Amino acid sequence: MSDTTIRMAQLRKRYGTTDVVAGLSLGIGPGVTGLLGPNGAGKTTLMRMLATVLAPTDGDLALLGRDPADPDERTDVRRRLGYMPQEPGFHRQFTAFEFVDYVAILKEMTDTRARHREVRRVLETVGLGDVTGRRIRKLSGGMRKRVALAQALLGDPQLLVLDEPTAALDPEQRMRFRELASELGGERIVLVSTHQTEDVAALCQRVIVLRDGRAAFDGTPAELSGLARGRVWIADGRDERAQLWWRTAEGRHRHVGEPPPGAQLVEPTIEDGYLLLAGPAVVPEGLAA
Amino acid sequence: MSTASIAAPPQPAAAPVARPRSVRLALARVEGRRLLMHPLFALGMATSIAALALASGRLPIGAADKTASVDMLVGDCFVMLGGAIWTFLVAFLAASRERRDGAQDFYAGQAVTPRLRTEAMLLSLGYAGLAGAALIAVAALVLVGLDGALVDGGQRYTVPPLALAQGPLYLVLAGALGVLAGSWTRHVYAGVFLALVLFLPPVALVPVFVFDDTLSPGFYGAVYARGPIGSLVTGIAALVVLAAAGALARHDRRPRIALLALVALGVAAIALGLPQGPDAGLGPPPGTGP
Repeated sequence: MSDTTIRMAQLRKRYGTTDVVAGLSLGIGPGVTGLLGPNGAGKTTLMRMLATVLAPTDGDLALLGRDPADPDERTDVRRRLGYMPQEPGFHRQFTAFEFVDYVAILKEMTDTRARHREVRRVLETVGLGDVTGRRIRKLSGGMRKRVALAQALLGDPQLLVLDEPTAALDPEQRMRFRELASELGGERIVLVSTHQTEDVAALCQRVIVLRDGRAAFDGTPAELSGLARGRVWIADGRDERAQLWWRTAEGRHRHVGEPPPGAQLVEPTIEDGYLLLAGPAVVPEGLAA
Repeated sequence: MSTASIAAPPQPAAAPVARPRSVRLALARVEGRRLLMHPLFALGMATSIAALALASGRLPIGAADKTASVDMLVGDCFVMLGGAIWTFLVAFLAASRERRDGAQDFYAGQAVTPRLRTEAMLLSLGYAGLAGAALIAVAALVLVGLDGALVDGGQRYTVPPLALAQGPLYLVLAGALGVLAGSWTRHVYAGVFLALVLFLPPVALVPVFVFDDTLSPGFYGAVYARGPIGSLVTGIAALVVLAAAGALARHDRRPRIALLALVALGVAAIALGLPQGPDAGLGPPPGTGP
């Protein structure tokens, strides 16, 4: 009964004539899986389908062994789901405690005492134990992100779908989010959509790169950075043959692409692998060669 | 955020349960408390209390005719008008909260359905009804006393107990209309506009059947009902059900909701259309006198 996987086969979501998710076939098991991709690659659409918010246009999807197309099974999935949308849509007049408590009721926790204990637990877990009575409109962007994360943790869900959880977090908070996510990823499926390649490198056992609604890469972070091995070099000036280049803080130029003979190769990062895979679409105009 | 708390997250204390009735009640309690604690609701009740004080002649200005003031305040619940407007707005804001705050995605991923949330929102209006009942009870005690009879100008009058239900029910109706409006539109200006149209002159669609205005008839709308008090209360209750059905229809298209709305509409039309019978307000009961 306790199927702890996500399975999708030829999953498709179409808006008008555009396939935002174009026939994805993946299986995702316990652990932290990172989802990378440029804007418009279909990450949020995929996350929304996995959070049962959006129905696929076509294809098969099974979440924790259940079919989200069936209303009863969908409700069952939602009972085991923690979802942190990209834009949670906070009720700003609520306090942090009131908001998470309200969500706890929406997660069918009706015993007041146990529910309040659980609300305090998740707020303390994300480090908001001392601001539980503060109204959300008075919280910083980073604190609001943590409130959103806290509500996703309610009830110890088997499946955590976190859409850009580290946006607006300062470096210290991001580091602590990584600790928390990696701790949670032991027996649960934690799916993290992000633009932060460092987060993926630091906490994900697996990374999927989406481009144009398709999986352009599926492997470990090391394999992703390995894609760029022998294809990243440093030079004093800009090399027109590079696929991508940018000026580093030291004033030199880092290039990704096919290196010229005798180029000074450097150890690639996961970002290099991702940029090589995703191509010019992910870098600002002017940086792409 | 303490590193220790992250490194070893404690096990959750609460396990989810899936009983719609208890979820509905838990949500209704939270929504009801939020309604009672809302500054606009407090403002509305304060308005009602001020109206009570003014019109009962307890202040230097206000009504001088004791029976008329009792008739108006307790029997016809004019005192509830201020509370009703703000109850409408608070209920509107609560019902439209999800869409105003762009939280549709967030709610869509929860186990509790929008239908159940609307039901809870409607149930929470019971808190407004209780607040109204408390106000009316105090007013009745102050103005009439425990025996429910008033002696004025040598004449003994009684307050029909059922008439006291009008005020609280009126608040519930205002709240149900707020939930109805908030279920279908998220625009605050639309809520404010509806509050004006429903409750205030020159249109004042809602008070016409509640407000049996003996002092300035016709001020609130062109039509006002003067029927048996039982019919008026039944009519208001039917309108509450009608508004509730309209709110539920946003997420529940089952035939039973349409049927409920039709029945409520029919009952309201019959109950409020009854022109015969005694005045809904105070009146000297037969055989009573000085």
